[in-house]
Parts: sequence; structure tokens; C-alpha cells
Amino acid sequence: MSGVLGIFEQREDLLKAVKEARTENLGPLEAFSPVLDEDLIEAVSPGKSPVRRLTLLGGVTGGICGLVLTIWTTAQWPLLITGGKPLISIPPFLVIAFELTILFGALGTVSGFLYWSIWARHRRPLPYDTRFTQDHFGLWIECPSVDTEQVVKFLKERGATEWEIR
Amino acid sequence: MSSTDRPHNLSPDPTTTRFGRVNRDILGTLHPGRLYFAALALCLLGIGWGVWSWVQQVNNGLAVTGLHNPVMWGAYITTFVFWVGIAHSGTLISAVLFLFRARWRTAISRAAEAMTVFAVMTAGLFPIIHLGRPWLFYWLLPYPNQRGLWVNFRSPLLWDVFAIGTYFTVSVLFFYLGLVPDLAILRDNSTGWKRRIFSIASLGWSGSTREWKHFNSSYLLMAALATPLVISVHSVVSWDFAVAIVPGWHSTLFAPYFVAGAIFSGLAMVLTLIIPARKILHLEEYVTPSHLENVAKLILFTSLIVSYSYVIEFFFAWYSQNPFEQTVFMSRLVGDYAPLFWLMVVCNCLTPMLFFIPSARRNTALLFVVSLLINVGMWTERFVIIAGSLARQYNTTTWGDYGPSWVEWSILLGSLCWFLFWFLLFIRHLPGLPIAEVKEAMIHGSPARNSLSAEGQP
Repeated sequence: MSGVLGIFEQREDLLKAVKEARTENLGPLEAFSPVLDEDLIEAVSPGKSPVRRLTLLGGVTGGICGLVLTIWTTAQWPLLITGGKPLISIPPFLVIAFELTILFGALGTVSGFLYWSIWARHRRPLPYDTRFTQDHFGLWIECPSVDTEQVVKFLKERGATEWEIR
Repeated sequence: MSSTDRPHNLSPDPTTTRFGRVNRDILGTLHPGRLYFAALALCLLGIGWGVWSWVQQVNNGLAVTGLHNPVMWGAYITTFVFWVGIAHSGTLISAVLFLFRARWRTAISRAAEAMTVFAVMTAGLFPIIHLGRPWLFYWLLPYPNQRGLWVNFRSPLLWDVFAIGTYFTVSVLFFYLGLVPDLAILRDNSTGWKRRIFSIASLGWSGSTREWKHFNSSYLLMAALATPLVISVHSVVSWDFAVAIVPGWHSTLFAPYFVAGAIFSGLAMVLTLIIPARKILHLEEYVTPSHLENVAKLILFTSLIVSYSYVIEFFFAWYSQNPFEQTVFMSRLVGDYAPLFWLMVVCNCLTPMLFFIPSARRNTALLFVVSLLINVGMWTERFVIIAGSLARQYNTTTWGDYGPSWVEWSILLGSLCWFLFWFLLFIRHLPGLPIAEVKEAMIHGSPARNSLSAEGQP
């Protein structure tokens, strides 16, 4: 994978560069930031994160598991001391179902984070600079066809202090 | 191939940029002095004493405790409820205040989340310590077995297993998720084997926008899941009592009453831990008096709910015209449990009223003292509810008194040391403030570090 990584000191410069790279259609982009920056996320990869789907899937699975576990095991071992209440008493079982809904929902959310955030990055490694966790920002522009010199010029004009051609 | 227009030395010194200073200041707390190791040793000593006492109990049975008919739930269950309650404020601060966009939470959220995890770890020990045969604790789990038995899901004790198990798992995941960007900071600021460990722990975090996007979404969803969870957990704990037909326990008030009490006691514990920590770690600039003031306001609010619940409980006893219920409450008011009852009223209802005075909320020494009193008061409250109600059930011939034995006091002390031990390890090895979030608060229009505290009131 070839491209150029520009390093920025100012967040505003980076935001401007991202927007202009988008309009000039320079190629696939990725920006790096030491902080969670919703404006930057919106500029680089707009749209909703798919993590929520796994949360829902986990939650629904958990709820069903909770009901199945309680009802099935009670039916397996029908303890008759119920104080006149039905053997399958739903209200107490709902407590278990509720807790498992939350548990599986949380596990689903973390799996989603691991899959889309972490695994996706390991599958497609990009250049990295340790200053990205400190106080610098980065912009990676993939350019297999476009002339790299042109991209370097673009980054330089928009306030990049350093760049690296890969 | 790499090229640069300017020589490297022209790029700003990282410690002079605002973000760089945050890194330096917070990472600087990870090198504490001799006092730290002394405290750690003291905690280990306390844990050792607690473990030795527990060994005595395992060898000799529950006879070494003060437990006997009719009070079979005493200091252990009290301490269990106490620690579960402590855990709750961490989730309140990290999840509920996050959903309400109360940005001041940043200053205390990491420490509060860590406190949640350690408090649940402490609480989880007590139901097991309380067992006569603790090595059979796994009978609580529903697993297929030779005996053909399944657990009784109608029992509130089983709900506890699921509630506490879920709460622990979700708290750990939530804590870890929030920690990932900061672990990457630690990785980039360390060398050698530490760097390798932090590389693995940070999962190769690089701060790309796609990572941040899914991180943001996951964090929000975890907060949204943790919020109903935290309410359910203490409700379930309260149902351990409310579902039984013991006078003084059997009340529909218990769930909201316990949840408010849990948050109240937990916030006090946050102050107990944060006030010395900010001093020792030199974080006064980040954890300012106005953050502490916000916590004090929350304490005042929850204290009012708790006080209201105390009053309403007495109203229930009177209004129900149930003589058994009335006897229990009279014994709290003027009977054998009156000293403890009035101690809890002073600590939980009267002392927090000081926080109506603005200067009292900004006085850190006073905040610390009041937080300690609330910790004592909330332990006493659970003791009065649990032991006090069991001791005065129905027929006078079944009455009996209870006081914890030295074994129970030692294990309580040991649990406090165990909790502090983990907290000390935490502030030594992980950043006590969420670095990435402190920086984030800066780009949201805060010109200086201190103004972090200026926005957002509870």
C-alpha cells in the first residue's frame, strides 16, 4: 500500500486538509488524533458505527437465554414447594433474563469494538507515529495512482509540518 | 523514504504544548515515593490478618463469629451490602453522568470506575466468607451435574449471583474499554518490557478516526447498558431482604431506598479516596475544589433521599398498624439498637446538611471528614437494617441479640485493606485521570486546563 502520511500540529489545519482532500478526491483517507474528535470522525468516515447491531443481537440473545435457562431447568427439576405459585413463575425469572440481557449486550458491544476497531486495523496496517497519542495529528492519504509529489505538495500547503512517503 | 522541510528541533517541545503537558502531568503521578510503599505494606499486613482470621473460621466453623439464632445474617452480609453500594457511585459517575454530558466527571471518572471494580471484587468475597462450607460456593451456579439438581431461580440469592456476576463483568469491560486509548499513551511513553506489556494491553491502538468512531459508539452503548444495570443490581440486593417476611425488611420501598443509599455511600468513598490522592499525586490542578463541590452536591441530594426513606419507613410502621413492624422500629428508636440508629442518623442525615453552605462544600478537609463519617454511617445503616430486624422478629421468645466477634471485625478490616491494596496498585500503574478525555475537554472550547471544571454543574 503506498501513500503519504502528513503530520499536523494544529487540529484546525487537519480538519481543513481532510475536507479539501475529500473535495479534490485525492484517495482513501485516514486521520489520526490523540483525542476523540466528533468533527474529525464526521469528516473522515461519516455515518453510524455498526457496533450497535452487535449490542442489540447480544441483548436479544441474552434475554432469550435467560428465559430458556430458567424455564428449562425448572421444568427439569420440578421443585414442588412453590407456595401455591405456578412452577414456572415468570416474575423472578425476568430478573435473571434482565441481567443476562445486559451481560450479553455488553459482551456484544465489546466484541463489536474489538472487531471493527481493533481487528480491522490489524488487518490493514497503516503507518503510525508515537506522537499521535501525545499532541500531534496525522493524515494518511492513499495514492496508488496519483502522483505522490502532488499529495506532498497538498499536505505542505495545508500546514503539515512533516510527511512520510510509503 | 522520508523527508521533512524543517529540522526536528523546530517542532515544539512536547512538554510545552497543552496536550503534552497533560501527558507529562498525569504520567508523572506513576512514580510515587516511599509513603506509597509504606501504605502498600500496611495494606498487605491487614489482608494477611484478615486471611488468618478467615482460616480460623474455616477451621472452627461459624461458631467463631457472633452469629447465632435468630441473627444468622450479621456483619458479613452488612459488609457485602456496604461494598456493593460503594461500587455504585463509580458507575453513576462514569455512565450516568456521561449520558447526561456532565463534563466535570472527567476529573474523577477513572478513579471512580477503578473503585467500582475493586469494590465489587471485595463485595463478592463476602457471600463466600459467610458460607459454612465455602468450598462448595460453586453450587450457586447452574451447571449440569450428577445429582440432577438445578438451582432455585425463585430465590433472591440466585438473582444476586447473576446481578453481581453481570455487574462485575460489565464494570471490568467498561473500565478496560475507557482505558484503551490511555494504555496506548503509556505504551508510547515507555520502553523495554513495559512497552511490550502495554502494547498488548492497548490492543495496538493508533488513534485513527475509524478506531475512535467505533470506540465512541461502544462507550456510549456500554454507558447505556450500565445505567439500568446499576439500578437493577442494588434493587436485587435489597430484595434479598425485602422478599423475606421479616418485620423491618418486607417493604416495597427497599429498592429505591437502597439504590439511593448505595450512590450516597459510594460518592462519599470517592471523596475519601480522591482527596488524599490528589494531594499526594499533585493533581490539584486537574481535580479542583469545584469538582469536589459537585460531588458534595450529589452527596447532599442523595442524603436527602436517604433521610426521606428513613422517615417513610417509620411512617409505614405506624400507618400499617402492624405490631411486629412497630416493635422493630421502636427498638431502633429507643431500644437496644438505638445508639447505632442515632449514629447513622447523625452521619447520614445531619452531617451532610453542612453541604447546604457553599464554603463547606469547598473546604477539602471538611469534605474528607464528612466523607469518612458517611462511610461509617452507611455501614451502620445496613447493620441496623439487617441485624436489628432479625433480632426483633415476631414473638418475644425468638428475640436475640447480636454483636460481631473479633473474627468478623478482622475480616472487615482485611476487606478494607484488600480494597485499598488494589486501589494503590491502580494509581501506581495506570493513569488516575482519563488522559484522552482530559484532552478532549480541552478541544471543546476550554482555553485552559483549569476551565475544565468551569462547565457543567450536576
